Amino acid sequence: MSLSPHPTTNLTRRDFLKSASAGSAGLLLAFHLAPSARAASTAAGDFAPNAFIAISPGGEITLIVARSEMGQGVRTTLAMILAEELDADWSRVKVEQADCDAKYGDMTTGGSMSIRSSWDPLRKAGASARDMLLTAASETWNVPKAECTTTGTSTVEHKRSGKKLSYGALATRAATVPVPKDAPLKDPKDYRIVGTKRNRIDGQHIVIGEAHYGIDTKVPGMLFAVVARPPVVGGKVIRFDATKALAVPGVKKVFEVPAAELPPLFGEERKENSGHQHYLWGWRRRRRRLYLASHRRAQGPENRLGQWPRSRRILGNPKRQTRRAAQDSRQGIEKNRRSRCGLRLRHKESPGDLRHAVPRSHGHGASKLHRLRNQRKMRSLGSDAKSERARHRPRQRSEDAAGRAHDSHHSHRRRFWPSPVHRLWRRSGPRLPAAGVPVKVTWTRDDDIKHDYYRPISRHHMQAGLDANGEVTSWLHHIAAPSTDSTFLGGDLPDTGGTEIAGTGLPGGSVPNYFLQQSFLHTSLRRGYWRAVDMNWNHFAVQSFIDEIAAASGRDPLELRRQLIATKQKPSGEGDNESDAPVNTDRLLAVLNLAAEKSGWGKKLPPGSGRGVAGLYGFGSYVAHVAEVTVAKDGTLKIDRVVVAVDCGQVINPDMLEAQVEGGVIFGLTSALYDEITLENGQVQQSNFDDLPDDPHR
Amino acid sequence: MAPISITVNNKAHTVEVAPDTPLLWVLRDTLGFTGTKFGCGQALCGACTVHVDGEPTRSCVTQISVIGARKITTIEGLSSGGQHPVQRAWLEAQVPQCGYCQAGMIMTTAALLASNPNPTDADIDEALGGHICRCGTYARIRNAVHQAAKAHAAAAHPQALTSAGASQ
Repeated sequence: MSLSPHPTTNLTRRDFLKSASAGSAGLLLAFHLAPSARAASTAAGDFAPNAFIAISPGGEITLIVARSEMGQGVRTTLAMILAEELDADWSRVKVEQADCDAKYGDMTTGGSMSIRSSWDPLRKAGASARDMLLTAASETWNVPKAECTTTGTSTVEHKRSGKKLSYGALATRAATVPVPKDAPLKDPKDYRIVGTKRNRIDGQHIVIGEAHYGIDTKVPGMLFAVVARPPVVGGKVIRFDATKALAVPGVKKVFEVPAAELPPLFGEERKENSGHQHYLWGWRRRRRRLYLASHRRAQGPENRLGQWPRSRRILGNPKRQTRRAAQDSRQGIEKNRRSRCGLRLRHKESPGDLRHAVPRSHGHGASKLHRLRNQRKMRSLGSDAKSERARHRPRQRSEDAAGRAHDSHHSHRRRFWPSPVHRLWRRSGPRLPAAGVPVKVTWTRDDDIKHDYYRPISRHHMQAGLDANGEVTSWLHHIAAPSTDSTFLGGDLPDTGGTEIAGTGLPGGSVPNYFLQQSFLHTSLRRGYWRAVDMNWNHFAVQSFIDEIAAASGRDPLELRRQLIATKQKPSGEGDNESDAPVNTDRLLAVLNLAAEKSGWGKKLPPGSGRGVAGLYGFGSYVAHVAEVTVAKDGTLKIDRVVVAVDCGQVINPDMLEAQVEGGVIFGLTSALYDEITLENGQVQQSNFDDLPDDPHR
Repeated sequence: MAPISITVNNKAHTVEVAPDTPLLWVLRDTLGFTGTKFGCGQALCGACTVHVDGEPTRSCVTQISVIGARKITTIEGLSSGGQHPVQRAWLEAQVPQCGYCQAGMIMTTAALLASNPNPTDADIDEALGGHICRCGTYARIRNAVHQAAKAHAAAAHPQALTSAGASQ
């Protein structure tokens, strides 16, 4: 197809859509997809298209979009949304991932935003293109537009005369039609693609080995490189001796890459903080021939538990508890503390101490510390998005760093897989000024595990008070964790810190006296936005704590959850984005009830087996899980069954949703049971799948 | 470096690489068969699995010098256009998500069915237990292996199955 996604006209006005077919046959419609719903709502200013629909004279329909496929299915689902409103022949719609270009703006794929932020603009764009095709047909046939219809087969039909024309045949004329302001959208009851099972567009390529990932990229004249990094996190290079490495056949050059300040955050230009690094031309094992001496950072080594002891001190000392009071609950809790049957809060962390905190009333208290592990980031949408984002700036940055023309540094978009091994350009192109040629940097599994961005450790202190009726009347949640954001923003205590408290507002926010605190810990370890980000650790603590309250007060954990969210007190309404709808506790209740029903909650299980439940809101979706677990005599766990209920709003492709949920269960179990990263003298102790078991299936 | 001759997907190739070069990198970097993936480099994850004389083999730890005259089959050579029953079953069950590990999974499954046409769940776990899928597609993989076994059997004995009312 000869269509080029490069509109030659200057599209900078306030329109949502532009027809931009100048110089090409066929129809090219440019529009804007924002990385977040919030951005979408503010993107009405200057028109900066970052997505394009192309209909070729041959009838191929291509959606060119800056969202990356990493198994979540966007290549298929985004095409489905478009095909629905365009009333197109599904088999002839494809998604092309846009190559790196500044015109696409923020190319982030993450935050569970691809579908959420694309839904409205894609439907509008599809409906507009359809409307333009209808206009083109009515003009061609000289019949009223109202008599023209589409048939779901990329064809416009005029029933009275029996005339038909394909979209391809109409495309070039349609490009001359003014873009409609408000093309009508389909009634959802007429959907025939959205909400149906469709196979992955790229499934065939995968099963025959022709799906291309970053690691598969090859460009003419390309050299291969690996990086020898100081083993201590943040270590600095003292000296290196490349004599033996250079003696290896094929090795062209060994050189040091200067350290940079900070890694890039979404949509920002930043230098990276990867320590001094050595690039060795050649190939993996040859790197071993490189002598590299480095020393630790001045701050001193991190031990096995990092800031773990300090987190204990922080949580045990109320005076050090600063930051992030939600609502005006401090006062409420103090008041509650003085009331006769209320909870007395005491900032002690061990359950033993708690006995003193429980008043002689009918109140109960419970406390739980949850140590969550430093966990390896893999298949984190956010993290992958970051690397993806980073991979898409080389064009821009290559000029600064290497003084080279853009085109010589063209960046390719390929499928992701759950590892930084795909990060072909991530740190290579612009950072190898001495290379002068394209370079493919491959991360080995060791590199990945030892030098990645990690989900940080966190420690939680939680207390609750119950009144005489068993109602939870106060709720305290104190989180001590390193800031993930500060990896990218600098410092240990950034002004923001929002991601560390995500997901804590429910059900805590529905309790009359609610106090949320956050303390930051220092760590030299790079932190990253692991899958579901803070939702994981915060809800591991929150959901476990609800179970402890249930156990302490002799109530059913499901019933307690129902009660907690049924309270008339308004929850904090903590959406991930300002434009998200407020949290709807009815929807949470519905998924809890559905999971309970389908799992047979309350029915007897054999001795040694039991059920656990969790229900939460995150990233626009409501999810409840019921797990059936058997504990063997030796303490080992067998997960017999997990029942999941999900309300994610409009489902585009139910089969892909199921696949995501199935994978998510495995991923979550892996996270809870394995995958711990530990440090010894500042060095990550794990290196590969043998010492970092990655698979609860085995 | 003396030239080394190998047969990949029924075609002879001569490569000039160090004799201790892992087969994986010869396939990927020298010959361009990038369907075989690098996952761990230590035979721990199965992403690099190819057939050597029909046997599923971890190419990341197999030195090119030990291959000799044995025939190598990669995912690209498993079938023409993805018509192998395992590949069809994989699509039927919509197994892949990101897809990175799937070539190795498919190669091991194809070898399993060649030697054991009707594997039990335990057989499947035994054969594929050393493969890691970070997307967590395990449940679908197991279903797909059973589907592929049925299709395999139907292809081998079409009449027997037709009379039994199977619909393949």
